[in-house]
Amino acid sequence: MNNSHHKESVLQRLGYLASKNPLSLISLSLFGLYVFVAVTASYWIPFDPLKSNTSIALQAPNLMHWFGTDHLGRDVFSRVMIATRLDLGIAFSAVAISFVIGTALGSMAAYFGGWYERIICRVGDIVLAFPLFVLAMGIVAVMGNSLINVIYATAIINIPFYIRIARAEVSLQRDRQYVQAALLSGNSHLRTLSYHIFPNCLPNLVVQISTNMGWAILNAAGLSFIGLGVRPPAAEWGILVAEGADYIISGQWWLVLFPGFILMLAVFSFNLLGDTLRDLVDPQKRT
Amino acid sequence: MFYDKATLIFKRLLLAIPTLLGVLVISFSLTRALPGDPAVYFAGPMADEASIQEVRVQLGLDRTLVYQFITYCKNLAQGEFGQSLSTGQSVGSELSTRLPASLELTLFGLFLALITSIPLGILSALKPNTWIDHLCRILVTAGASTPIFFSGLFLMFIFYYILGWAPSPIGRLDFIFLSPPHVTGFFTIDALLDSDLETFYAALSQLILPAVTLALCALAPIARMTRSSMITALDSEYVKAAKANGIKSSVRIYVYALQNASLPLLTVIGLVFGFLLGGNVLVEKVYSWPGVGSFAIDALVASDYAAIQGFVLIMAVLFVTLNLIIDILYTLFDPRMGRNE
Repeated sequence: MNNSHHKESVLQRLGYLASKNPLSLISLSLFGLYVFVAVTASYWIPFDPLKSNTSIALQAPNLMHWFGTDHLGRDVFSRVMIATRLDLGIAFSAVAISFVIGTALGSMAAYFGGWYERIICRVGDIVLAFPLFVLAMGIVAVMGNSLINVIYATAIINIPFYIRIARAEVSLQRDRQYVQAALLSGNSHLRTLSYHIFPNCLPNLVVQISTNMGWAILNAAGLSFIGLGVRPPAAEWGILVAEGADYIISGQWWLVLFPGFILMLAVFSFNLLGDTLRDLVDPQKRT
Repeated sequence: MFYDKATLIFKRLLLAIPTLLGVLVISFSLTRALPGDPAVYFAGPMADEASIQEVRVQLGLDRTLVYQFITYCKNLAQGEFGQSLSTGQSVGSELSTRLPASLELTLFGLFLALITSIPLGILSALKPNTWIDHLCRILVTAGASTPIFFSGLFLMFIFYYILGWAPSPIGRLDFIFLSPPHVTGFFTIDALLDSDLETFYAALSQLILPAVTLALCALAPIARMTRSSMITALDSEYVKAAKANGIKSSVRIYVYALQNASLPLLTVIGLVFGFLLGGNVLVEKVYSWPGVGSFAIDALVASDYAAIQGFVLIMAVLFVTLNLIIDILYTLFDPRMGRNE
């Protein structure tokens, strides 16, 4: 197949979807915006996100401080923007880990079958028998309260989903003729699995990645909201909301609203992006 | 036919055993995977070599892992979850006094979610790809994207700080009220049983905001599933046949289609319950709700492992039990099950 032609048609489809459904356009541009902020925020934020100045503590949003200032006089706008990199970074690393481990386990389970498959599926089901946020709390509590353990915990609770999808996809492909052709022309099982079957399973996995990014952000922010993982004074959306929580019943709404809204918008755009990608991959499957 | 269903249910019950065993193994390994030597940890910071050894023998840590696991299960069977290090209380009794508060909140939240999301899903299934459908989709996606602690704080700001409708978010009941006599542990139901309307309203007004917060995050999956299964049902032959036979559209939609669409809904409710048990922790922190979630957060801050382990286990057992019940209901309600086996 001509590769450049294929790529062009994906872009054309994206363009078509964007013109057909404005939500797709919104989700794509929001996603781009978040990535841009995550990469460049440190160059253009107006104030040092860690520098406190108690003489301007708890100011409502104004022209100088667009999102107001917190109880230590730090600029909320700068803190929310700089937090983007940390939050997306946590979610991205967690999803990357669960994608690699989950798809490897799942596709091998489907390909080789037998006891191996039964054990992997069973273990995946047992993980899913826990309320996942609760399990993540338990894992972080036991492994130690640190950022890297929040990433691991978020990765672990997402692995079963990748196992399931990869297993379902690979078992659909396993008996196709091109697989036998690949095997007959001398490819090893592992090579056939990774170079011939796996690329055909990717589209649905990509949809899962996008939705998963949203969950991962929510999960990590939830954990840091209850005091796990990222420690103050580092800026992270969950912590920013937690710090603002003490002030909301005395009316300082901006401390919660801005980080909370930016967090929500990030998850929203990843969820919409998942829908858009699903339309792209399989137009009939829209739920 | 009855016999077939009984066999299916029995098989499902058997299937729950390995899952429960797996849950036990994971929660057992949660304490055994503690960084460092658990004996050193449980002996406390001031312990010397001899008392560490004593604790090790006392906890059975010098025996094989299999032996330790069996002892662990035996203790659990007697309701023995271990001592909480921070409070010195037994974790089991602490959890059982706090569990009703959490369950009341979760179940009420689930109830609110059901009575709003099912009509929403039906509405968008009846008019797919219209503005109503798009609006529902946006609402539902927004609900699924909102961090539960954010929506909780925001509702609190609007209804407590600005409008002043809600009471101050300080737990299950204002200080001026006495908790109703303990029957179910659910304050609202207990107050009703006691026919104490004043306490009932007080408890309900404390309950409503956190429950709405939970319901907001449970809306999305239920509404989505209602929509897609209603679309499938409305499109099916039996609904078309009913239409051809001149059966009223309301009967067609709410009896014929909804009845069949409600089975997949059961499965989703099971999943949503899992979200809610997790979301509960965050809501309890936001509203200072004295349930198992805030107990777990306190335990996390104090690195109180026995308490966290007990909490994780209780939540998992609840979740597994609920899914088991749902599967049994599924078997009972679905006339196709057990017929072709």
